[in-house]
Amino acid sequence: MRKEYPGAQAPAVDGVDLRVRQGEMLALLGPSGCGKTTTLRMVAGLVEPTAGTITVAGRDVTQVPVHRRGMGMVFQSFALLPHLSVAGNVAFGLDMRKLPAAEKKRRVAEILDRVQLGHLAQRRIGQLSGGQQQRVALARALVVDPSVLLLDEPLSALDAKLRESLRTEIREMQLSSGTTAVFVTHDQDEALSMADRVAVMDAGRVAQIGTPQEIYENPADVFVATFIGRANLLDGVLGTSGVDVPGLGTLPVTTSRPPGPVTALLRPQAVQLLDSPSSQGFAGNVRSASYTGDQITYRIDAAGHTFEVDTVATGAPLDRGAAVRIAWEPAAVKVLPPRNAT
Amino acid sequence: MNTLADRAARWSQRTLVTLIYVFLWLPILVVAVVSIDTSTFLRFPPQGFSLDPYRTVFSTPEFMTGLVSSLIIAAFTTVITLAVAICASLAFTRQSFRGSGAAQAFLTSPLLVPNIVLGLALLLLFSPLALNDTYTGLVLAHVVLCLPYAIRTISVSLSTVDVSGEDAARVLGASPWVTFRRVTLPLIRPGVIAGAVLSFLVSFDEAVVSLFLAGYNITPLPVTLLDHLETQAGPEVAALSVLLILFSLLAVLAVERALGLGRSLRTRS
Amino acid sequence: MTRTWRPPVAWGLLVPGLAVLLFAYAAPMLWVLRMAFNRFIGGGGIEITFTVDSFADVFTDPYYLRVAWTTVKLGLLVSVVTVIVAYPLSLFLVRTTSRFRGLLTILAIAPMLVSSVARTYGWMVVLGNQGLLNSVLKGLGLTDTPVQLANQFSGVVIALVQIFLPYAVLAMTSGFGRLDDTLEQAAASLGAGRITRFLRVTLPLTLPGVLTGLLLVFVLSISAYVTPRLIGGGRVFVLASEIYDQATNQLNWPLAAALSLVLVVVFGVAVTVFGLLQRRVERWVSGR
Repeated sequence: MRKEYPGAQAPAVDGVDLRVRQGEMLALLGPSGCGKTTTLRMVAGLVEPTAGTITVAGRDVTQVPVHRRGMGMVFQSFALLPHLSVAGNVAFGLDMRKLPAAEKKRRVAEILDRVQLGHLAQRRIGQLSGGQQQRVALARALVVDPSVLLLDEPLSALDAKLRESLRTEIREMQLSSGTTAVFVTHDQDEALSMADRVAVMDAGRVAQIGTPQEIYENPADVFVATFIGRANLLDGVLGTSGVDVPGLGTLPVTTSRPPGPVTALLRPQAVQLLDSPSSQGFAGNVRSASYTGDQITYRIDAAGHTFEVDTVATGAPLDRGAAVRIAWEPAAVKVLPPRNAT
Repeated sequence: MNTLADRAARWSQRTLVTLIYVFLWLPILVVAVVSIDTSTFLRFPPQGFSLDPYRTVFSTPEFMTGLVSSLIIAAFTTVITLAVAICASLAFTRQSFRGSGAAQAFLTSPLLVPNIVLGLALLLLFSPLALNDTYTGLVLAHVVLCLPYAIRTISVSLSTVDVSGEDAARVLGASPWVTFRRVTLPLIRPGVIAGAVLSFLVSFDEAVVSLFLAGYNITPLPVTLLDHLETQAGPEVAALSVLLILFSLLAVLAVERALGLGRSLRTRS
Repeated sequence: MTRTWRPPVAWGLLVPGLAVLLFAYAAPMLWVLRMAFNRFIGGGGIEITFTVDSFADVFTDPYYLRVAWTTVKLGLLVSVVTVIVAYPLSLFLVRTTSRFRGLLTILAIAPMLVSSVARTYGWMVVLGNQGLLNSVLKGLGLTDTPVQLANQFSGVVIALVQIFLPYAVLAMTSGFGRLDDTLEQAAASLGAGRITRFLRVTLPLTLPGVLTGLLLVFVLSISAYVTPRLIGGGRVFVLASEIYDQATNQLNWPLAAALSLVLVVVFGVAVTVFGLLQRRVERWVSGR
């Protein structure tokens, strides 16, 4: 399956070119206003691309009206029809496909059982909780065996606890039905935990596309690095032996980038806290500590920089001002294009 | 604080408000009392009580033909107004296009034209076209008068309905027409009902424009009533008025239940 | 959200509405404008020409000037009195915390939808020589000879005030939105008395709503026809009744058209003047 929109809707989506593989779940991740929802609505046919094509399984559907595309979509607001019952909502797409009544009944019952709502089939939408509404929306989209399942911020209207359990539920439903899915989210945890691949979008463009691991470990640029996870960024100049960073000297790195100004990325987990007497690494002082139960994140001033450092919690956090030393494996330093250079 | 002054102020306000309500409903109540009077001309207090005036209403041929004319006109007006208003409101609320504001202003502007002027204008154009004193002419004129109200109530409904329900239906395979019939229309039903009731009532009660367009063939009830009031305003006219008032109040309740009266009648939001 | 329907669809949806209005609204209105410049040649005959004769008639005949003045006077008097009566009621409806507020609002607005012919009839009964009012006055021994209210300008004013009261209440209650109890409480805490509070806080904040009510009632009453005809009993002449008489009895269409244009101009002047006033008041109230 292939989709291209070179220059669709100039400000909203600009030259997005995505290929979604059969049966995979692709996340479109980005801050609000980056064009991810517009992209999804173009795939659905709700928004017409200014230019470009949308192809599903080799067939160009760009000119196919929305109701003949055979897709399934879950909306942020769930978009359930308040004048219909749960079963009525789920059956809506099957009605449109003019299925025989018996077949329709069977499939509605089957999908409602799969989302554990069989007992609520005759309820009105207004009588359901947020999580139940979400499941009805999912069932309604999946019951028609869509060529592609589109999810627009499917969990953002729910509270945090519910979100986590529904993540797994949606993922399992998608895997077991083998449906190709594209979902839009601004929540990086959601994207990383649910998707096979993640496309990070910024200002109408795709900044990077890859598996969650690729994107986390080898971000393409500073935007992706900071949008996904936390990052220590060090500006410097790449030379033959490593990156020259003011105050830290030359950090040895492995990179294929040509020499010149760069930004070095160091994830907080990659930085180690050493015992003070050690002579390795750099000396610094604890500026602040935040304790979250299983880990402590320190902010440490060292060599003119402030580092964020994650440590496994093994007792009370260190006091403010305590002298520490920090160090890291040379391989943990990633070289990115310099900041503010686009 | 000065509780005595407070209480005095509150009571004087209550009295004042009560008096205003009395003033507002006085003529309506008086008509009801006169309608069960036995005397044959206008006077107060009533001379005796009887339901004969109501019997007279139903046995007066002019009233009955007037009623039938008014019902026919109001029914056609309502159906046409609704169809036209739904189309126009869909354009105004579901699409953005150049000239939308101007078109909306134009379609609701008959509210701002004095009915007496509109009536004259229609007479002047329709009589050379032989459209005055015809159902076609009267219904057309009434559609113009009712359209602003219907567009108002239906647009309010359309703009409060969540559009994503319509999007969801379309993705699930509903064509634009099916989406409208199975999703949009059920969701905006309150606005459509309010618009229908208001249109029916505005048409049914319209006297001035009808006065210009009525003739030997068609005389709507308000015009008949107006003529009667000038010549012989006896209890049967009061009885007819009471019936009209009851009819209006039932309609008011219907609008109130469907969409809320204030929201429906406010021409500028 | 951007929709997939393109402008042609939008205009297609507007075609029925635009067609009806162009034929049964815009065209007749333009035709009236044209008709005013034709010449009336007696006996219902009209010469298609271009003359200002009808306007000359209107502006030179003291009778028509008096009719125009009566119309404006009626509009001013009815709008001012209606707003004065509607003000306490609107204020009450906006402020009340009563659980009957919904019902009370309906009671105040519902008469708007009651046939104006029927309501005018009610006033004929109340104001007539042997009507309710005179019976009460006589019963109380206040008067022996009936007070003339029917067939009088004052009677028309009283009836129109009642008929347009719901319109004013509707316009004013929606215009009183800015009213906030805490503002008055703040004023009270600063030592403002009841009257100062009203004059310095409540009145300025409600002024925009009052202006809207005034304009609405003014334009409604200068075009009122049924009530002046019935209550006026053929003795109160306004532009509306003159237009109807010229059009249907004298068959002088050019004159009727010219009188209509005069009415529309009065209408336009009122809307413009109130628009300017409103803007000034808005600026003053919003403190800019």
